[in-house]
Amino acid sequence: MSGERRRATGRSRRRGAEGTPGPGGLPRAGAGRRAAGTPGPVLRAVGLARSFGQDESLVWAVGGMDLDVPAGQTLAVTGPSGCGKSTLLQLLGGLDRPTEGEVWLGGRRIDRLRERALARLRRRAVGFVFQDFHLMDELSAAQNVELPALLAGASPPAARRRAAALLDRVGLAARARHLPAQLSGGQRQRVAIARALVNEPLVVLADEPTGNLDSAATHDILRLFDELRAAGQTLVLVTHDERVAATADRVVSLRDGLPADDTRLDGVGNGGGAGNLDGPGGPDGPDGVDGMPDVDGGAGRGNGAGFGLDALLHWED
Amino acid sequence: MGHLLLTWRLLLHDLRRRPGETLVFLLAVTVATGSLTLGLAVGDAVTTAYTKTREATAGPDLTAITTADDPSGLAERLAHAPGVEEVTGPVLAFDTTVLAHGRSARSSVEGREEEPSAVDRPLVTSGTWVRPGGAVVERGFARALGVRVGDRVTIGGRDYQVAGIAISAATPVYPHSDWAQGPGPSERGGRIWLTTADTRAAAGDAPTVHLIHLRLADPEAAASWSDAVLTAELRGEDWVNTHPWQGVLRSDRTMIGAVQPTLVVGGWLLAVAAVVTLAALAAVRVTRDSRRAARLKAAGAGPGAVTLVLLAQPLLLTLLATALGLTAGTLAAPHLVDPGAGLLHPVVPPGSGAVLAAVLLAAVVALTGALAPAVRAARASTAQALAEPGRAFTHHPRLNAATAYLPTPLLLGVRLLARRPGRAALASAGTAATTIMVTALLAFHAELGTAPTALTSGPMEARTDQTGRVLLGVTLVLVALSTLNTVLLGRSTAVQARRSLTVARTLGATPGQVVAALCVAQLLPAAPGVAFGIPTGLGLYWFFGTQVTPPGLWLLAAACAILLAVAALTALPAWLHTREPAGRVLGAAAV
Amino acid sequence: MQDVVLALLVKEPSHGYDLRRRLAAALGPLGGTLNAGQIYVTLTRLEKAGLVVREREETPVRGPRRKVYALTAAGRERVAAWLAESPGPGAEVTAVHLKLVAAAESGLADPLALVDARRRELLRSLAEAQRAALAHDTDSEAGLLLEGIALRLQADLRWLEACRRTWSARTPRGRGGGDG
Repeated sequence: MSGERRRATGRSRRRGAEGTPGPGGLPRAGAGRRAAGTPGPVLRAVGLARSFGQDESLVWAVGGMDLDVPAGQTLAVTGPSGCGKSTLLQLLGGLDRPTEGEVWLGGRRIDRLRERALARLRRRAVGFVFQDFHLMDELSAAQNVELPALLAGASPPAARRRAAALLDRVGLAARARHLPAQLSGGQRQRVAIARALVNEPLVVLADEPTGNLDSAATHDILRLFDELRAAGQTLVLVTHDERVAATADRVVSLRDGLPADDTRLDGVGNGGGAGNLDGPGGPDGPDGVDGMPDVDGGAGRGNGAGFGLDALLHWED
Repeated sequence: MGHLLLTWRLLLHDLRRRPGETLVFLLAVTVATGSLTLGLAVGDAVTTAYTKTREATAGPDLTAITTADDPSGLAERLAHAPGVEEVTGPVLAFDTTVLAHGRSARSSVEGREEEPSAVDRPLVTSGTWVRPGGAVVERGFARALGVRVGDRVTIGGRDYQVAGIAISAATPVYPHSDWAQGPGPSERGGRIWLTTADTRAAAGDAPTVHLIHLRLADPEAAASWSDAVLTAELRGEDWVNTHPWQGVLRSDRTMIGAVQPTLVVGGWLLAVAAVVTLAALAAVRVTRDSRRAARLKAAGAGPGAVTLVLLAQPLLLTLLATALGLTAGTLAAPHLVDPGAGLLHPVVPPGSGAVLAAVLLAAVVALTGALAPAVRAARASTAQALAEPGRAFTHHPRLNAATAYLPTPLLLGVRLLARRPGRAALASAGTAATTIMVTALLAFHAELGTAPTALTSGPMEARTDQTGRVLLGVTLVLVALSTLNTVLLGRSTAVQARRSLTVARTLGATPGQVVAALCVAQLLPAAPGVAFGIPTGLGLYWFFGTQVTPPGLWLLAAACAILLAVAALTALPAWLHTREPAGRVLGAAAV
Repeated sequence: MQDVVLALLVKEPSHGYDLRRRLAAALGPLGGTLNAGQIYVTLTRLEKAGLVVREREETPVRGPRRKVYALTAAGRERVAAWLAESPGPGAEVTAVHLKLVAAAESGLADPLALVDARRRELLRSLAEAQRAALAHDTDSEAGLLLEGIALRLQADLRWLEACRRTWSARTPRGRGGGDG
């Protein structure tokens, strides 16, 4: 416990020394170090399957799927409701146990771990974001963000500092003392994202993060995710909203618990077409500020790739 | 009419769906009202039993005891004194030690005619009345001695067959029925009847007394009659003592002196426990109730109708439980009042005071337990109630900030506790009630350990046993109810904290930390309950009984046992609950 | 329209009346304005272009005689090329729908594969639109345009999901992954 505490404070002190957040408003160094330090995919599922019920009522929510999520990738899992997306996310985050198959997180197999070990792993390796936020109603925004840090053994002042920094980064510094009930849906979700990030997890798992939000709040959350993506944070988000999925590097669509399609979107914005693995916000991302494509540039190139925005503009003529 | 029909349907539905909850509710209130009724009814029960026995045995209004060798003059004078209607006696009696089954006991032996006398006509409950060579033993004494009709008793060195067992209202019940002792402090003892001839033979050289039983024209004024009429002139030279019937009744009532406070105080403590039970049940029900309230309101029901629907069940059950408790208390009272079985035991309907107290207690219990949630649910706006059923938190920014410095279980536990301070108060109250009772029980046993053997053996044994049994019984019921409360409170805390603790688990709290947090949330309020209960229990015991203090080690052990039990009762269900993976719980909580 | 008519002739030669009936069935109420004359004009043009040939004339029991047209090799090539070609991100629903119908009718392409390919294309467009949108304020003029484009692409994607369900229920293969 004391070891964890020391490490946690040390980490935050190091970041405090760096002082300035990355261009995306979120720290780049931590994620970059992780991406470099972890061989192979951050998250890997092998033959992952989960069934519910028995005999005639047996249903396979996830029907034996393989999935690799490399470090720094933003993966969107889409599909109609009931296709097993949320179950998949829970399996990946160690919130549920698979019926068959393996889950590897940060090079470690987690599907056979005991609850206690899973909990310890989650503290540092996984950050969850839920559709209905799941903030603690009786705790202020800052206290909600602090909580995982405290659970992971950070000292209260260190946890407070980290929470304050993250709330600042999600644009809620002024509302740190507000209770969730006093915040809008989008603000609550931003608090939840800050909470998911407080222990600098290997991967952030988000389950319909915009499901309860209006379009303006969704826009804010997506922008925040995009900043995370630019900062190299590995992110898996489950959504039924194509617009949310389209902001990811890669979209896997599930049907009946199996992947029906796997589309790479990284590099789309740079006009380079699919398959460009050095997507925006890669190791030397600063030029592509925030990983944002330059829309005018893309149209100006007029390369006639067919499916860029230019094609739409052409259609508008 | 429509409201009533709806209420009735929902009531039946709940009864069918959750019989356990209904049963627990019924049990808690019944136990509390029953105990209180019992406590209040025992006093009346003694009076009634004495009165009935007095009527059945032509009990004297006044008994005069004299050591005169020839009391015939005194008897003659008394018979002609103003206000005297009938006289029996002088009855020869002496004080001796009788042997039966190898045991010896002190007793008065009275010589009676074989024909029934006018005043004090002992009622033979088994066997026959005195005959030459045949003794009749007073029922309470017979039970203490363990003799039955046909057994043999030795009086003054002679053997007599027990011809019968009888009861009488002339003297107090065993062990206060030995009136054949002369001047000086009297010892406790029993009462045996022989024929006059046998008595005279058995007495031998022992000092004798004569009893003269009187019926007066104005029985209520027996004491003042004695003062006014029994002048020195009438008494003559000899020692004459008088016992009005009121003194006998008073003596009989002191027999329950130790039992009654136990029952009355126990009744109120049980009521506290019952309030906790009901509130815990209400807490388990609160989500369901507020959802129901919200739906009723959405369907157009006013706050009044909603309150009616929500309160109907607890009120009806309370009514039923009060009736049950009153009946049980009334039926049980006669068996508690007279350990020696020296009186007749008619079932007496409870007095208006007892009924009122029981109803009051039940009302307090039902209202504290059920009214607040019902009113809250009824008053909340419909939209609000539909949106967040049964969620009302208190915010404690400072406390939450301070807990950041605590280890994880305490951090989560204290925050849980702060969410529901009301429940913490309930848990404290419940634990305090149990601790008070357990402390009293310990004090009682400590007193037994240090008390003279007179209390623990011999004539007083029955009474002491009775007190102990009642104390133990009330304590056991209270402990049972508290166990139930702890489980219920623990469950409702776990249910309501389910989402928040599961979220904590997704954030990395281990199952062990979550269980420990729930235990902390239960133990923190239990500890002050114990701390308050021990001195209060001692204080109450000192107030109603003797000033004894049980050994510190006993008290410490009791406190530890109570806290351990609370922890265990909380941890077990919580532990079972955390064995599921967090995601499943979260999914279930979201639905 | 020419391409659709060609595709309907892939399986077997047919006459204008039958082609019109099949088109009207695929278009539902939208096909109400379609008259036989338009079909015949199209067929004549296709014949001139050497994509179809008049094979024979049929004489039904009642009604006028019917010219039966068949596809030439060039016509078949043209259909295949058309089916392989993307309708573009801004294509109308009707156009995509007719292409899917044509693919199914001709058997030259798997409608599910077309759906998947189009889905991927639209997703890329949407990705680009979304990323652009995130860089702009929603209340700027550019933001407003991007919002409209994104919403429209999203609507198209949702419709494709419905297409996928319907076509996978019709094709004996059930779930057809196409080349994905």
